[in-house]
Amino acid sequence: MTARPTPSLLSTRDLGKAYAGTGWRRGTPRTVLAGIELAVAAEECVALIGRSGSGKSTLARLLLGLERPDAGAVRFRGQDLAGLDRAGQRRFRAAVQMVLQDPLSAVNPRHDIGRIVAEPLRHLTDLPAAERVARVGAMLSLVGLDPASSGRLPGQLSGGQVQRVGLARALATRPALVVLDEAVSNLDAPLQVEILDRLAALRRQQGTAFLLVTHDVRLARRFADRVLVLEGGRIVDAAPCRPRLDLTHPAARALVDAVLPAYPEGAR
Amino acid sequence: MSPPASPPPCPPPCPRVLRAETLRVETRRDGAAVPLVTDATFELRTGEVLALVGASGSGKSLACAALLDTLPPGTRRSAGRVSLDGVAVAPAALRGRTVASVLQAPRSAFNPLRTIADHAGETGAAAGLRRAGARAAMREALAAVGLGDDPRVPDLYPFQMSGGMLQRAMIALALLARAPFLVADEPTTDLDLVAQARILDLLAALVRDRGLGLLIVTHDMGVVARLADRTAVMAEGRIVEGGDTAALFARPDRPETRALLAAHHALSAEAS
Repeated sequence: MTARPTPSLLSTRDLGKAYAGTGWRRGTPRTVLAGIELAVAAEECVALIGRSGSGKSTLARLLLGLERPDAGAVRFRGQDLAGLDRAGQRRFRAAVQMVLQDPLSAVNPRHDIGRIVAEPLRHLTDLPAAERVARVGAMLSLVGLDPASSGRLPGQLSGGQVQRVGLARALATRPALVVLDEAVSNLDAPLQVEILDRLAALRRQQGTAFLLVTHDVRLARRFADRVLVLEGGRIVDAAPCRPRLDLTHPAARALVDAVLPAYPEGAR
Repeated sequence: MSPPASPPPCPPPCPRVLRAETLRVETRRDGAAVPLVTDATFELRTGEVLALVGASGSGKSLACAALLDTLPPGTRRSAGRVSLDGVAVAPAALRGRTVASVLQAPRSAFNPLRTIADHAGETGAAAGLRRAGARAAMREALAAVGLGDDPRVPDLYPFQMSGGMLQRAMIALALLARAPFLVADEPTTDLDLVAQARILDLLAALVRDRGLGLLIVTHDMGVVARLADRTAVMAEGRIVEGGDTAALFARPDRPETRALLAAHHALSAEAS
């Protein structure tokens, strides 16, 4: 992996995870991740690509501390997540945020948009109420939503708008790293480009680092500095996106070759 | 009243034509009718792929649902007509026999307590197939979608299959009905790109080899480029532009089409 002088924000050492079998096959654990070594530096943008079932989401959950690894460790600014005390955990959660793929299942349908976006501010920061309201408005404009929509309910917005609410919530604590787990994959292309461009601008202004988890090479290529390829629970390939994304592993080539044509046959 | 149902669709010289004219879909808000789809007219021919493309919320799925009378609760078709080979038909009568459907989320479209063979038996019975014939037709349909090599497939339950396999199984069920038309609403949106490419290859082969008429609803201009002969672009409930796909890519006329294409090209281009 590329050597960087800055200490990494989030890194793993020989990370592994296995899930216990269920039902009749209880007791035969299935390894879903093994030997994962990765590091995301401050202000860096890394894409983690792979097919469905390659272990991407499990890795994202481990990086967020939502699940415990069975082997190795996740380190936040050099400290093992497992060893963080309460205050350390609060700092970690404010610094590393996540946006999931399915926006409607990630919000409480009975809470209005303002309350949803303010949630991490109430739990993870000491901002007074008046400043929380201002921050919520600023975050909504940042993702291209009208701040006046903070009084509406998720059910009154479109799927793309609710996804932007999730993004605003993840950005509210001014995190150092945001993990986007297929967070833009289901949006239409104009919205994908708009959101990725907004996040790129945010990165330039505030130095936010991103880990983009996706199966779509196009999104990785547009947004990330470098790409890691996950296949069968292992990182099998890695390459920078510029000047040209050059991947060699067969699993990586399959992802690149699956990109749909830019033009119909016979028109160009 | 209906033309001969079960034999394979007519060969290319005499394509069958499914036409939707001036469809209008409404919902009611505060007692007033709000139009969601206005004046949607499109024509689907066997052996051809028509794409209905548009941004989220443009009304493309509703237009498609209006064609088959499968509109969600709270919405209704308030105007327009549907015709098959020039003869007006009730949309509900098309479903299954003339038009088969493939939906976006395969996992919610299957009964989790039934195997693939159970589902195929049900579809076969609806299509008038009996035991031995149904069994043979199922094997043939599964083979056509690339699920024929593994003899265990008919006995699998939906939870034992991946999203790509389920989508193939759903297409196999659509083939069992021997309908000349297939409507696919975002059939690959929930799949990863590798699985998506294979499903699109399969659909293209079915159109080419069996002369199916395919209506594909999508927001992805890449899917349009890969598959569609003709394209209708929807925005705010109206078809704003339509015609030959290659011409549309070469000379987009409307701002909505240009916006879709600009974003598509921004993502397709190699990073510079």
